[in-house]
Amino acid sequence: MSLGLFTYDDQHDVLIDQNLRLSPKERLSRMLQSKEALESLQKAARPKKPVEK
Amino acid sequence: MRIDPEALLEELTRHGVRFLIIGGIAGTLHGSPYPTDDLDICPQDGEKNLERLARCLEELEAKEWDPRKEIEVRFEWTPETLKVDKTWILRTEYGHLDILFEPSGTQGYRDLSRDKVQYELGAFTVDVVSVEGLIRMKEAAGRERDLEQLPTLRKLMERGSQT
Repeated sequence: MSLGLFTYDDQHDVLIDQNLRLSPKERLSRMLQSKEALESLQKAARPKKPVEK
Repeated sequence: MRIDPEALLEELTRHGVRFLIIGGIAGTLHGSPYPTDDLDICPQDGEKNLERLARCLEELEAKEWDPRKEIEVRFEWTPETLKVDKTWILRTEYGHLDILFEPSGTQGYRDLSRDKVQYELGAFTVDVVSVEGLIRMKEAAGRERDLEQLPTLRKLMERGSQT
């Protein structure tokens, strides 16, 4: 299942170029690292629950 | 849930399971930058292979996962259990593992393995569906999240993904 976090654009081409220079094992590690980074960003951007008074 | 695809692949390989990596991880191995949160595989459906796969799932204590109800069900994994369905969505200690005997737009392992690609992942080698096979599956699945990856996969196909 894709996380659907971004769409195709010029930056995407750069990412593909970078990936193709890596070994398959490194591509896997890189994907996991960027997934974690994106999830952290999403978590930080989520609106916080209002504090009940 | 975190995923450790290498650990899952190592377990499947250690048990001698014949399978192809499909889905997001296949895309990643070919060079796609799209992130994914599960490992999708298409196993060969011969009796011996189902025995090996069942043994591996038992060892992983794999549970069927219902993402809508967010519940998991523990099965005793046997070749017979695996034959009950063509698609299994599972949870393991190493993350989500989806087993698809007949991925959309394909006739399963034999069909997809004709132009498979092999990649080395350190100590072991894995069989991966070709970029063309991935495109075929995503076109047939036709969901938004599948279709949005097509430009990337076509780009990879143009470039020749094997490095």
